[in-house]
Amino acid sequence: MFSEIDKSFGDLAALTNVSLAVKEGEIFSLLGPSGCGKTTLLRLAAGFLFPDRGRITLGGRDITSDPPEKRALNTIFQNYALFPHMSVRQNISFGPRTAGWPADRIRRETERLLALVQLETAADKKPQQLSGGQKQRVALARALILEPKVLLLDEPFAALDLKLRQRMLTELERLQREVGITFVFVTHDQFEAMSISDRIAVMRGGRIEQLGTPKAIYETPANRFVCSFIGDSNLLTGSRRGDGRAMDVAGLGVVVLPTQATRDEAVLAVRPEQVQLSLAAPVDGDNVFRGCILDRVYLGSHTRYTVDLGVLHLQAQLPAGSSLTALAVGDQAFVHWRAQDGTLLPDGDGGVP
Amino acid sequence: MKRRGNDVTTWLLGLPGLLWLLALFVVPTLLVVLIAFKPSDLYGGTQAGWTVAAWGKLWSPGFGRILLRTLGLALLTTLLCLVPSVPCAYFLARQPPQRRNLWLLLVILPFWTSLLVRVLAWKVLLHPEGFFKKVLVWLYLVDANAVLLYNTPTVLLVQVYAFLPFALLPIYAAAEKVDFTLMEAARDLGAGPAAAFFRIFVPAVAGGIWGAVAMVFIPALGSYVIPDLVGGPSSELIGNKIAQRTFTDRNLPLAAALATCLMLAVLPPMLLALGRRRGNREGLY
Repeated sequence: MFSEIDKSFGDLAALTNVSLAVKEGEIFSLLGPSGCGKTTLLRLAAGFLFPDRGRITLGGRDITSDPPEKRALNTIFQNYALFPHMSVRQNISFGPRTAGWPADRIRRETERLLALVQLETAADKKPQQLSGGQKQRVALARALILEPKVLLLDEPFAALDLKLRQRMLTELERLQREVGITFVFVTHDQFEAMSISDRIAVMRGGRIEQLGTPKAIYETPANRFVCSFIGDSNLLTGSRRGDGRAMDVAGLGVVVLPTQATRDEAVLAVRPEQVQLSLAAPVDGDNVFRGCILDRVYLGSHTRYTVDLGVLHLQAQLPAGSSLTALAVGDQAFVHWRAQDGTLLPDGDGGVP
Repeated sequence: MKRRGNDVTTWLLGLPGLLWLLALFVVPTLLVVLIAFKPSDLYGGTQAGWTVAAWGKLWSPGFGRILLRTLGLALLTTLLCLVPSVPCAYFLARQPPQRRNLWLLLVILPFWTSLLVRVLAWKVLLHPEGFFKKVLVWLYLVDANAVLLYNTPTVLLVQVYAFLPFALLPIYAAAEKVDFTLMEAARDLGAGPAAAFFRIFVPAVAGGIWGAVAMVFIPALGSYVIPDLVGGPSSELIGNKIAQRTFTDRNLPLAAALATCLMLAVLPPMLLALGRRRGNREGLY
């Protein structure tokens, strides 16, 4: 869909050599911190911006220089951008009216979309009279009525509260299954991206850091940035030892690696939920260290501990109901994790933000 | 209880403005209406008693024509001011803020010179030996004998020139608040640039356009200096007639009757428009 895109604003390079192919019918997310270029990429796709270099294609057709009205894709704007002087029904029928569909087809399709997003009773209201969730459904219906090949969604849930956000996510997934349109999401919220996407592109500084399924990105992050942006991670840096199946971590000792390190400097990521805590030294276990509980945060479904290992702190997470939840700040405990639960990051690139 | 307290405070806060309006607008307006029913005297004042003599004189054949000309010219002035103002406001609103202020300064700049001076400047420009005339003749756009002054089109030209900023500023104020992602949304949904402009931008600044209509149409109706300076006998407006009755004929009741006529012509449509707008706004919430 995108190939070798460059885009700069003045001296600021917003995108550098980005190539990306979204598959038909999938839910694809562009995920990254603000300023990473994800919105720029979306606006390039919609046609509100034009690339300095590179091509954008849609279903094999080059649309790089087409204006937005000529592109078979529609956008859900972050603030929904509903036309304030039109009713819900007029908003939804704007596209068909502009395209000059016959009147009875406009009426039929508008009613169908109103039913799809369950807004029949609000059809004659003005956008100002609607709640956030309703506004978003109007925006959806307005975009879907033109049956675009791709629906672009720019942080569509940013303005909604958590409960509504979860409901809209489910609803959106249902809609996507019903209409079978490709969805391209822009979001900075990893949970949103993880829960809905077939594939995710993690972006930073105008580049794609990693592209893959949510599972692949979470379990085998490409670098430190992706690892720390998606979920929490303990990052251990050390120097390779012997055959590369272990590394020396300054002040801590030998850490067994899941795979063979290929370079002298190795970075190991361990998710907090992989780190075990125990009062007595475990009988077996590859990586066992003794430390002192520094902090304890109760989060309902689980409890997060920060363990002081002397030179560094390690995060560990225990599920609710664990027998160890009585551990208090100041207690001595052992931390350990199985070698295969860690992830050796392929490169040391990417400073942690 | 609380509501009531708020009401009292609102009234108190509004009081100075209300008194001002009462003393300087309502009372003088009523006085004008009353004077129209007084007999005139030879020295430019009014005599005791009541009469409708002034109103009778309004039915002279020339008056209807002047009333129509005044209305027509005011309408045309308003229209010609709106046509460039709406796209211009769009352009201004899309400029980066610093440059926007520079443009706005250019719009306001003419106000630093008195209107009288600016109208007289037009007189110089359009004079048979004036710069404008010479350029136009040189470009073969007008005949060397053509008269560019003292006719109705010239009055229209100078009126549009004088009132243009009054049309632009309220529309710009509305345009500045427009959410331009609405334009993007319209483009996204298949509207071309022109369709997005007329179907989204223009309705979005409708309030500003109505403001501009009021700001131009009403002063244009009462316009007096411009037709007096660049117009001729064939382009006299009600404003000129009122001035003549006051200063030359010293017939105050007739002048007052004319002024009342003008007011009656403007007031109902304005009130109607105002009521309609308020109705609309209530509909929104």
